[in-house]
Amino acid sequence: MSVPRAYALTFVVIAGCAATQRSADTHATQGRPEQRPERSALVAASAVELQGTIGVVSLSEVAIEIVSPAPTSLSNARFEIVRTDGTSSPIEPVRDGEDQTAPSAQHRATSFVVDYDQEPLRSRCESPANQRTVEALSRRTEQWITRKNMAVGFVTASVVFERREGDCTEHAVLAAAFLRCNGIPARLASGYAIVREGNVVAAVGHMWTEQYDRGWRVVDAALPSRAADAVRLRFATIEREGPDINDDRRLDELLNVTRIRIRARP
Amino acid sequence: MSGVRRMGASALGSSLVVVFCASCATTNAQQNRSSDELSRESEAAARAEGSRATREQQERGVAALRALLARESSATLSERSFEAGEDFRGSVASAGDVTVSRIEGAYTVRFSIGTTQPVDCFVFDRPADLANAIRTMYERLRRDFVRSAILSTDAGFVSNNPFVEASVLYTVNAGGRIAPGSVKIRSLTSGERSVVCVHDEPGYRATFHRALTPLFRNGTRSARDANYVASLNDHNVGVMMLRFREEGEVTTEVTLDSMLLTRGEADLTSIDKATIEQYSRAGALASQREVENENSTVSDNQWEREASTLRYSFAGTHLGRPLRGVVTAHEELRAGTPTVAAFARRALSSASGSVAPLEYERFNHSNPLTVRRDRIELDRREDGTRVWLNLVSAQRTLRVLMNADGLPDEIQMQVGRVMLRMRRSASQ
Repeated sequence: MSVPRAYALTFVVIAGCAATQRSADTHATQGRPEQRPERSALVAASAVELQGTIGVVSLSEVAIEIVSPAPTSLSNARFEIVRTDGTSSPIEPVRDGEDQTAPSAQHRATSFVVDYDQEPLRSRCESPANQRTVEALSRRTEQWITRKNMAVGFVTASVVFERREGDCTEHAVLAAAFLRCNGIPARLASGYAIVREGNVVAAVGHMWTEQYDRGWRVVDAALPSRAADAVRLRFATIEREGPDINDDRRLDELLNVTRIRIRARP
Repeated sequence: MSGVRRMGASALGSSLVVVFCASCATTNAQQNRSSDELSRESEAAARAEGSRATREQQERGVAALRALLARESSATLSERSFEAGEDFRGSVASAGDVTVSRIEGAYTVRFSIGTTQPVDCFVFDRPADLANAIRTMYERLRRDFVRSAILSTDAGFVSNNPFVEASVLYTVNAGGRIAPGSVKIRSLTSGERSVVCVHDEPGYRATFHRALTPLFRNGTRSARDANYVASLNDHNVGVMMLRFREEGEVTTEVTLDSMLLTRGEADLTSIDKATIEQYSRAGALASQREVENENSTVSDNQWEREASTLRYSFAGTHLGRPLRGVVTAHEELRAGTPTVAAFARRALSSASGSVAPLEYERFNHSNPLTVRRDRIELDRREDGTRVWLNLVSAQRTLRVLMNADGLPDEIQMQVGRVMLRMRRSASQ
């Protein structure tokens, strides 16, 4: 007898993914938990008003609380995570180049998860010389995965390349493979993405890629920077890229978060 | 499944459209105002007023929807038999006649539960996995939806037969206007046949359950077998069945689990898994096979011990990739259930509650493959007449309420804001 595998997979739980969820909303409140009054149509009726009382558990999203006066953009906001035990602590969003930790050999190499040594990816991961920029490789990832959905649990880069389907985790591992294959150090990171479109703000569990160029910089093929005002709160970088990647208990910390508080920087 | 009618949407009152179009109204209102027309203050006031009106509209719509979802049928339902082919005879509780028709790969059974829309059941020729059958049906229906959201999932047992269910709220384009609807999809096992039933109308959940109850045939279960209902934060998401068979010195333990997990607002992940373990009376593992269907992708993983050695071979897939190899353990690998159950029984019979930690080797999906040593510590807590055991490993802490038969009555696992519960189901 074993506890069903699905419950041990934090990835399944957290991967609501910004890639396919950009519709949640939030309005500035006076420090109260958000009631999401204008969430678009169906979501307002079901996900918010009814799911909580009738059935479904929303595992991937956490509540947003915007403290008035609301920040004008996420890039000039301060963030605080509130945990299940009631404690809270500030968390800085990922800023490009800020983490100067030198890449290791692993960040350049193939691994079980970032497996660009496996067909059909191996023979096609290298891009033409003029297409080896970070932007081009991110765009290639975004365009290669044609079916943006959450039907895939968690699979390796070569499998993603073959299936051309997935959510943020699939975008992250394939982008990492494209980057490393083309000589750019890359790693996987997980945490929450905070996304804002107009007056709509959402926080969802997320995974993205980071590439090293005088510091670590975000490469988010699932959530390209041009798509939205977005920041990422990094909880962990994925150093274990073996078949046992799901045993990384640091990812449990994502589920300890009940709310993310946002306020303007003074 | 083209046989399912898409008329449930029209059964909803037009007031509900307000709920679904509330954001459109808000957007339009904002677009129609400009800073040239209104001062900043009056614009803000107008927006607040619009927002309040929108919220009131939404609240009325949600209240109306909630009322629709809560309704039940008062019709008298009588048990009626039907035949689906030569080898399947079933019954449902219906308010009228039952009609059976043939479609490719299944029989369609249609009957009324005294509501506007009929119930359609599909009795499949071939076995289907419980959770995957729901997801597949939902994905087919979804082609007609403008938008959809998963309202709830449910799972349980009737006469030892499992079921899982999803309830979905949707909008469809009905002749140029957006109309909302709600559909319930239940997947169940009746004898050896897989059945999926659909009711495309909001509410009537208990009526739907009552109508399908005769469809569950009496399933067999030996004294050692057990059924569990899995829940996340008290919402039922799946079932697990434990089956034991003993032949000579070898015990075969089969675990079947099916679950539906919601991902985002509208996506369902289905996981159906069969784990087959063979072990000796002492609990030494001879083989372990896991066949899993996750969203229609099937994997088959098998560990097998080479006779009279400590060598174990593995062949299968992991994270979508083929993986195989041979490892040599330091001691006989042990099967989970008899090992942990014996450990727990020792703790229950211990007055002081102090039991030496359990250490054993288990398979590890590393590359190359290895075995690794696990350590479980045990803490005993009394809660009234019940004794809970906390099994603490490097991976997880499980809170287990053991039954005297050596199987848990309940397992709890808390990970942050998520509580997983597996509750043993008394056969209903």
